[in-house]
Amino acid sequence: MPYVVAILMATGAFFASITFFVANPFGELFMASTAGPRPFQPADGNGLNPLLQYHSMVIHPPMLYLGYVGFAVPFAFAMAALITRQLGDNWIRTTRRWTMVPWMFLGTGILLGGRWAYSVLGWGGYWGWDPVENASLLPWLAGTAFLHSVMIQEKRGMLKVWNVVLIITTFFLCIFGTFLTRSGIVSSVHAFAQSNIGPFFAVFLGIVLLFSVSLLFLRVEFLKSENKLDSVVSRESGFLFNNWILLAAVFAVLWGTIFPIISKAVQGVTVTVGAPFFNKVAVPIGLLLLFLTGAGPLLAWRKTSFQSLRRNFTLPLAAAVVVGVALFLSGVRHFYAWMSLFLCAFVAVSILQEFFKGARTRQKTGGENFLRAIYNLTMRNTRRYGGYVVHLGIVLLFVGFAGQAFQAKTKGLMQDGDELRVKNYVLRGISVVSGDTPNYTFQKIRLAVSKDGQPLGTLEPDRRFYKASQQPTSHVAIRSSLAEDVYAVLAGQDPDTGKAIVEVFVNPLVAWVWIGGFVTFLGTLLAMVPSRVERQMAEMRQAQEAGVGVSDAL
Amino acid sequence: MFVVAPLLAPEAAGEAGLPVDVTPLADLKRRRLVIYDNLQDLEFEYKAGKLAPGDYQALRRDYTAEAAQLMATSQDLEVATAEDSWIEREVAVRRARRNALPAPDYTCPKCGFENPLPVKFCGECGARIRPAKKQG
Amino acid sequence: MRSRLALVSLFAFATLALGAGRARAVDPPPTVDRIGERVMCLCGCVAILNHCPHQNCSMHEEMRATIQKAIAEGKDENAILQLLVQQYGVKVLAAPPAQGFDLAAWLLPGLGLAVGLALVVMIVRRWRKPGEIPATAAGGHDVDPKLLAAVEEEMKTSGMGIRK
Repeated sequence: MPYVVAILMATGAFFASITFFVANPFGELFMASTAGPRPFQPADGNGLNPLLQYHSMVIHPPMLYLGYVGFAVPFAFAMAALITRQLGDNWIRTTRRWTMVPWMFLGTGILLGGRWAYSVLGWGGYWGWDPVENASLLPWLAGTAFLHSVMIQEKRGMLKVWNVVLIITTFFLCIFGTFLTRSGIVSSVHAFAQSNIGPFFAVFLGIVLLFSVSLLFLRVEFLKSENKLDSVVSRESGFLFNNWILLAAVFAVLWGTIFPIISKAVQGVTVTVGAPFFNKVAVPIGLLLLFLTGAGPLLAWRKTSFQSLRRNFTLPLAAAVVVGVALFLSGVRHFYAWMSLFLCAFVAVSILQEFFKGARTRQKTGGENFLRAIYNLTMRNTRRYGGYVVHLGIVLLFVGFAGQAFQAKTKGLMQDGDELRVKNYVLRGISVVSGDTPNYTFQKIRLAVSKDGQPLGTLEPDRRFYKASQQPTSHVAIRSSLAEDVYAVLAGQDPDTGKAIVEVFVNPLVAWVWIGGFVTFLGTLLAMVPSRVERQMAEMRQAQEAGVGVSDAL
Repeated sequence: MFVVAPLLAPEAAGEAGLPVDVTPLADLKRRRLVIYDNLQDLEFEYKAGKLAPGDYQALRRDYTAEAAQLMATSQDLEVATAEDSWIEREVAVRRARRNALPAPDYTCPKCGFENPLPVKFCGECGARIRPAKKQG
Repeated sequence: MRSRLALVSLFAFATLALGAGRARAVDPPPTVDRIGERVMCLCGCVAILNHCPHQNCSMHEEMRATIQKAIAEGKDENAILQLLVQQYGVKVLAAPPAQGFDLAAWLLPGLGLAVGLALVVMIVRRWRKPGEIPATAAGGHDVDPKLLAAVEEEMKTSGMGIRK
């Protein structure tokens, strides 16, 4: 424990010294003058950037921050365990639990950021593969890999070294993300945080890497594997493949993010690596991952025979094929979207099957009713079933991602009475209203929305002019439903006709992204509830430790 | 110096690559418990129909054999520990005899357990022990 | 053996299917919106042209006008991208061109995937127990019944394992 604190404090000391000596936030309040720097009292500021005046933007940064900072804890535990050689199963349990917390916060933070981008930036999407967005995704992916492979260690006593490597990687990527954001070595939408502290971070990163890796080498003999792999078709190898995909994703995203720097160094030209690149590269990887999300839990530990495979795969595959054919017949031709929905059906059915089979078994043996059985099943092993809920959340996320392929958009000049058609929606301008609030003046257009002739109410996108910062922004109006969002932006005013420029998007299935994120969040909470098995094990352990302690001493 | 001490310390408690917070017996016990947990899961998955009977039988046999293996190692170790403590006791007795002192008696006044080693507290009930001089 | 085949073929199907997804039909005629997704806005916002968050952004309108004009001249998508590169430099492209050194940007993720797969396969092979059926050799009848009894006893007292 003292070493855990020491590692955390060393990290803390680094960041504290950065703020004290290099990028002192109060330094902004000093003016250079002939007699040296002199403090001054700033006038009233311009307020928060209008783009950021949005509710989820209040929660998004602290969530991300908790995620980034939180990953220092598992790292500290791992390092302390290596230093003191206390590499029994205590540290890995603590570490695993402490990884779930920042993992949850980081994931939530990323999603809230997406939610903000969707409802404020007005381009109809939520993820732009900006370097800083990528930087937050990287430790999340590495942390996901760790949360999976740690199970092999707990169940089978394998992959011990690899798990330490993953913890180091995750922490490293957290600091690296901060470095990317703060150093400004890549150009990003999030350039607000740019400053000259890059070199210090580079040195710190080097130290972290050198320290942790050499420590790992010193202690590698304490991390021997207790078992061997029995078969290629087993849960263990499923986890190996999961790790492979996740780390390949980390590598691909990292590579794309830093490629502009590499290109600059090698050929002297800064190229841009943006969304089209990442979409091409990440989508296939994401779909492979989605496949494993469903297939992994269907594999038994140690080895799985063809008969067992057939028992578990038949229903999900059949369901997926039915869904796939239905989608094809209903005119879904976008391959990736089709594949994604096909796999979503496969994974969702496989998870429901797990719950159903488990509950039925409890019903048979314990005579519980179905709901009671589901509850007991989940509470008996919260990690497993919480994990399944998380998988379900991921499925819903992918459903939402797939919807992106069917986005429709149109743009038109509107005033009272003008109509704009997009898909089977008709938007009709009712009136243009102007107004004034203490914070901003605004102009908004009221649009009557109807779908197939059925009136659906009004949308009121507005354009605001913030007084303090003298900046215009537009405020998106969204009519959300489970099937699709109608998303209207008042983009400006046409100088020739004086009409309002309105952009309308129809974004199918976007709501499922937020629902999926929420389900993932709930699943993680569930997985953190101590399960009955775990409590039982803990009691056993205490009893054993007392007993074994005496007999060992004799 | 204190800070780097554990880093530089020689392999003091390094019992065959075991971490320091684990005794060999406790480690074997823990690994058996994990196997029992796995067996329980296996049973449940079999009952739930996730496993073919062949797989179930084979895996169950494997796990049980593994547990038995660990149990055997554990028992050997216990025998060795018992022998060790016997040796220690003999050494203590002989050393005491050499020093022409009567061998101290560590029989517990409370529960009557004859502690094999020189101890301050009874290994059985934890009562305080003041060694009495053995007669003869 | 059969199980491995089944799983491998399933996996191969998924991979192949994903690969097949890249083969597309003929490109539809270029539009400003389509091209706007493939180039960056150079006003300093570091966003895709279509996604520039700035109101009344001068650069944004200028670039869109350029594209509009090129479309009117009957140029196809690649020619227009070429034109934009000439006018604004390579950094206008939202993804690096797949040629020369920039090809590395496209190849390495795939390479990483392949190397990772090779590593996993290697590790799986290394970790396999030597021989296919050591389980029966270690398990089954030649386990000492006394040990088995001890194991059963411990299972019972620990409240775990398979109950008879």
